[in-house]
Amino acid sequence: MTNVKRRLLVYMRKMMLTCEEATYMATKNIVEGVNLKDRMNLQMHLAACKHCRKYYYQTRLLTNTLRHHASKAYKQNAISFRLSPGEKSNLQKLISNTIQSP
Amino acid sequence: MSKDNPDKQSISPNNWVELYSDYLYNYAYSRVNDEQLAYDLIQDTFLAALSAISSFEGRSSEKTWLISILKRKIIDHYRKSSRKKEHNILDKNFNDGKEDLPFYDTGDMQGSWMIQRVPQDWHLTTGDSLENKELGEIIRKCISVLPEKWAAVFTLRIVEELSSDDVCKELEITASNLWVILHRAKLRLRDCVEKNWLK
Repeated sequence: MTNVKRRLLVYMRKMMLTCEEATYMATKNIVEGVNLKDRMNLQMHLAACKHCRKYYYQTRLLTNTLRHHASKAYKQNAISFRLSPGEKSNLQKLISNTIQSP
Repeated sequence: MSKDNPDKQSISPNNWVELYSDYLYNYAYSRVNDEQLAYDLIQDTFLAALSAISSFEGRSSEKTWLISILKRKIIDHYRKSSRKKEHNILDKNFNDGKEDLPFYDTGDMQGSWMIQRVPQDWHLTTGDSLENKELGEIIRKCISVLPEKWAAVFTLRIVEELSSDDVCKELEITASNLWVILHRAKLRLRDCVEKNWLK
């Protein structure tokens, strides 16, 4: 790499978010959104950096998968994890005994 | 007890297990990632509810009331777990987290992905959608090996979706601390999932 090219690259890096900053901004944007300036900087970085683009979509998938399983909806088909019959009968006994005891 | 007051007729503890226990368990397990702990939290929730039956005002449904008790139990669990090891987190893991970042920390490439640690292609197929239980399990395992404070912040903010302000209050951290922890936790989680799921 020539010296000029190198200095140009360093200069451009200074103008743009680093990957470390972009991934920080990505997290913030996915969780609660960022202001316009930060969002534009993030978009610019993502347009130029395939690693951070992958990072963005992958961590968004992780977040959405977790939220899907942690669904707050009270529907039978929204329940991913269930108690065993033994555990249920133990809980039932616990409740009955607690109600009966004075 | 409940017969004394006609307003409180809608409480029927004998039906709780049948009607709500799977729902409560799913809610707890997906937030604490541990079967035994989730079961214990349900048990605590029922006991707390039974001892507070007289305070149930019938304004919300039984289910909503039980969930609000469980929610509190989950937050209390994370308050305790994140405080228990706070010393270690600050001294060790927190700083280790800095050293563990996948970015160059000096030179022209400072702040860029280290070439040996860039995100790999995941080659997602349709079977790898949100419903994918195997992926869910791996993510949960990866959360459970995070430093306890990170897991607490991550779960309460991202999964339980408490507001940032509430998480900061409950766990006694600053807002900037919250975002630093979420950033590090996500980097490590992504890395952990990639290593365990795809290879």
